[in-house]
Amino acid sequence: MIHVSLDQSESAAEDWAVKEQFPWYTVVPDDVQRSGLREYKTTNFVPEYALLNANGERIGSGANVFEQVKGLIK
Amino acid sequence: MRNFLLWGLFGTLISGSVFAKTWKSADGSKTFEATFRSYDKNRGTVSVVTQDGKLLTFKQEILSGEDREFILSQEAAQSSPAQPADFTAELEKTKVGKQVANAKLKLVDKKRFASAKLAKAPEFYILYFSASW
Repeated sequence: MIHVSLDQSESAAEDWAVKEQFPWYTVVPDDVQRSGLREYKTTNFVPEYALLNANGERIGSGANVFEQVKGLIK
Repeated sequence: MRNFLLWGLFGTLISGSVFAKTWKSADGSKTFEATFRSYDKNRGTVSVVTQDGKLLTFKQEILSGEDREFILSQEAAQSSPAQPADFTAELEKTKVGKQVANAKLKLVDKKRFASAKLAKAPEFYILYFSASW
C-alpha cells in the first residue's frame, strides 16, 4: 500500500506520518502530480482507496480493497 | 474524528494482515503475525509492524533460526548494490510501477522521513489518498 499525501506540504505530511508512525510508503505532495498517481483519485473525498493492477486498471475502491486484495494474492 | 475512523479501519483491515508472516520465538513456543520492516545490522535489531499497526523493534536473537535467515535474506536484498538498478527496470515495465518509480517514496525513520524504495515490483497496488487536515 502506498499513501499518496494530499497535504499542503512535505513537512505537514511528515509531521503526521511521524506522529502516527506510519509503517507504509508515502508519496509526498510535491511528487504526487509529477508521478501521475493523482489520476487514480476519482472523488473529492478523503480518505480514498484505489486498488489497481500494475497496468493501472482499477480493480476496486473503498475500504474493502483490503479484503479484495487478499483474494487476488491467494 | 476522521483520523480516529482511519486508524480503526486500518486496525481491523489492513495493517500487516495482507503481507504479514508468522514469526516464531527462538524456542518455538510462541508465534505472532507481523510484517517485516527493517533490520539494523549494527544493533542486531529487527523492526516489524504488527497486525494492529504497531511498530515493534527487538533483538533478532529472540527469533527462530528460520526467521533470522529470513531477516538476513531481506537485508541482503535491500543492501545489494545490483538490486536497485535491476529492480527499477522491473518496476518500469508497468504503468503504475513507472509512476511509483518516478515518485520519491518515503518511510518514517523514527522522527523524520527517509527516502525509500519498494522491495519488489508489486502485481497490485493499493493507493491510499489522504491528508492530515
